[in-house]
Amino acid sequence: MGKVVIPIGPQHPALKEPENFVITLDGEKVVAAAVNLGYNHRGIEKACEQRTYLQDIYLIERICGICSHAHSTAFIQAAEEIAEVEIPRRAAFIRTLIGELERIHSHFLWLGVAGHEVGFDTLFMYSWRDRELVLDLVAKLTGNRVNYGINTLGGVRRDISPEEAAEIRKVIGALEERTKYYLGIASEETTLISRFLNVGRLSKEDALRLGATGPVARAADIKRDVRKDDPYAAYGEIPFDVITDTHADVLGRTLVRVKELMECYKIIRYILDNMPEGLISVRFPRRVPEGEAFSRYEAPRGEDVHYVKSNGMDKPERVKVRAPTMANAASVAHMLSGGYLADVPIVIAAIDPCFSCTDRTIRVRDIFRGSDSVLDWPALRDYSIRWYRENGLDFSGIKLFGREIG
Amino acid sequence: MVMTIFYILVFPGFLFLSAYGLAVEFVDRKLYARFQNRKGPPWFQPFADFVKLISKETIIPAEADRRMFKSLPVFAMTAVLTASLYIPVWSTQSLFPFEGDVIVILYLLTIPTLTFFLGGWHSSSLYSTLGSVRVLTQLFAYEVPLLMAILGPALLAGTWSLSGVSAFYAANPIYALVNIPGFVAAMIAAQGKLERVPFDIPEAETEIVAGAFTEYGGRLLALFRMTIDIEMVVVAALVSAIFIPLFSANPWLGFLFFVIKTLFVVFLLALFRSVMARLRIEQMVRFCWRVLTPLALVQILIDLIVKGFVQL
Amino acid sequence: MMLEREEAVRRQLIEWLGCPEDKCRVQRARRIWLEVAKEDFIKVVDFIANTLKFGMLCTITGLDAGEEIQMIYHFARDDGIVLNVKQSAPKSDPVFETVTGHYQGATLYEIETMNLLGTSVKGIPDDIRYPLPDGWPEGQHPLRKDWNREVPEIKGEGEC
Repeated sequence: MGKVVIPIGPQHPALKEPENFVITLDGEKVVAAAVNLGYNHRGIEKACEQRTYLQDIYLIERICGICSHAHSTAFIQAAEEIAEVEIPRRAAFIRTLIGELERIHSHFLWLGVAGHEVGFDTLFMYSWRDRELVLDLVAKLTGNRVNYGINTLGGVRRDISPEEAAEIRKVIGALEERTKYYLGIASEETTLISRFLNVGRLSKEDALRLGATGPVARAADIKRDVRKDDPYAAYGEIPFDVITDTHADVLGRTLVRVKELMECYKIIRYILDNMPEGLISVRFPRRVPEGEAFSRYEAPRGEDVHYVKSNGMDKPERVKVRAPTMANAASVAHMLSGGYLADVPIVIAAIDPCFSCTDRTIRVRDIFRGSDSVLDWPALRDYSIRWYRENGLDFSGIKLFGREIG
Repeated sequence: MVMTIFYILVFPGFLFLSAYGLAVEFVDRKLYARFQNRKGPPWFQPFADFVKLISKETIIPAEADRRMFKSLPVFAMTAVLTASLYIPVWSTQSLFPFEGDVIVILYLLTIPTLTFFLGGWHSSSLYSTLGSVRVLTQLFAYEVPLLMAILGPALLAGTWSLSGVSAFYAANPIYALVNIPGFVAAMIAAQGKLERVPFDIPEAETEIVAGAFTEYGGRLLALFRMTIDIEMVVVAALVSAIFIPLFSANPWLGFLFFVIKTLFVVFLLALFRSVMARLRIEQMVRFCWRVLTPLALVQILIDLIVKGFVQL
Repeated sequence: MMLEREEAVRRQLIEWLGCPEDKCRVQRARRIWLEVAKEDFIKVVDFIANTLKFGMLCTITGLDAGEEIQMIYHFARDDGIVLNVKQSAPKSDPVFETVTGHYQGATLYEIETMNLLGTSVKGIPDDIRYPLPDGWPEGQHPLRKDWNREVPEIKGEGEC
């Protein structure tokens, strides 16, 4: 076989979100790789300009399902800075707590995906089972498994009771045991190591040159962590270590993430031990004074940055979001070239890509009626029933759980 | 004549093997699920999947060679069914034993793999082509250790007939102990033959979608799936007939032993695939030539030495 | 105040640039804002990258400031200081220089402003669609304030 150009995506079993990689192959070797993004563009930045700050929080929280708290916190921090609102310490602690719980579930998710990409489905099932613990916990604390909606302008919406704190400690204890087990797997399992070691190498120089961030940078021995460098929320007073690794490959990224989980538990215990008393939110003005602010947040996948500009009204003038995957996208093409086709999925997965985040920013358009109004749930349901009927499928009369579905 | 047709179509031929193949698939999936801390499918799931696939539309890519594309699954199925005729089921004797049938079985078992390659190649799609090239590359890696691992015990038994080998170990079960390295090598090679983790490289879904089977669907895919199930039974039966000396003169008890032995092999195969990650093709080839083939060679050496002692 | 590091960076910038004091301000700990003329921009980036050692370009924010298109470059240093550098060009001719010579990862950020705000960045191919779809019509830039909200007809979507 000569050189073959193979498309990975936009629809491909290795990808959980639509994006496109064009891989040029010579046999099994990757000669060149190109990354095409933009399949998830939803016009969120534009939409933010047409909504109030409070509405924006909920919109921004839905940029991404996994790092929803990262995005909403980054946005709120910028808004609070412009409005010169200082949140109570207890609120900062709760934000940090939820942020760390989010990091835990994100890293567990990643571990499972990484296992799946190299055909190690047992690891996938195990880590996603354990991830349920933290998801259930978050659901108990905030009411939702993802998109927690705990942030509000000027603080947080829910307090953590002593009973909930005890529950958190219990779950953290159980997860810590599991994490030690995964650390063992990641550093001992032969087939896993043979698939991770020296795969997708990104040297320190390349990582710096291409602007890598998060665990990708830290696995290349770059001590770069916004929580430490540019502390926000309560990170300034919480002791923790920035985990780095010198492998600079997929194995390094795995070790960094698993070890970071251990730091998460440390941070959460510190928060629970030192949670200050007091209010959980303060008043936030409806109109935000003119100004601009740049806010950074260390999301599980790397640095998440938001820029907000206010024009003195109740709606922001400009909101700019840059998700961590965007910063790492440049590194991916570099890491893919020279490797094997078999390593393509794991190398892509190793940056923990989140393409909805990256593309964030087209409104849902009702192409069927020509307007761009948004369909609500009953309208969507009626539409689907109508569509199926017109196409010869009639579900009326079929009962499901005692209710007619058509 | 009537009996022969019964043997071929009903027991232990087509019908029995299909049913047992589906049962083995269920056992494999259930065990795999339990190892992963999942609930696993209900017992009829493989059958339900088969019926569903059969009832689906068959789509043949415009660029594919239609005749080849449609006939290859049938070829694959026929080959494994023929191979099964030379495998003992309820006793040490297979239906139509002859001297040298071990080699014939191994050759017949190569045919499905070749049809996977041809099927993928004639699909004329990128993923299928890549998958079929991998099928062939992998074939050259595991076939030699598999053949050699089986050669050793046959040398010790002094016969090239599977029934003869089984009868020898049934009479002298203690000799089976010297064949353990060969058993290990054969089990690992079988994992490659059946294209399962860590050797599911030809159909690695996260890399090349479904490899050679990417363009297959409906009835044709159902046939391929059934072939793989039956192949698993045949391979498990072959390995157990040679390496596990558990036979009985009573046909009922003998059949029970057959089930126990094959399920034990399936258990090991399921265990393998749940504790490992998929290797890369070049790692797989290296492993087969550097570790597996020497292991099989050691087995032959052991058998030759033991044979020398026995004859003294 | 404890803004010594920030003030030091600010002084360095002002002295080197010789610009008026009010063009550079320290907003708070670790946040510095700087406005530069378009002509000086690449020179400033060179200074920021090589002398001040800001190793990372966090992102580029493009915004529609009425008569002008403003570009804000957010540079970050490992000690946590973020330097936000602004440059503007009139809407009629929004041409900027690329920073990919100093920050390789900036390509996508620049393409984004080209798509969403209709800027033109010298040194970057102008036919790449990101994040807008391939069939998106020419001259439609959603982040401009005067962009009408009707989503234009997208031709040939789904082809790649």
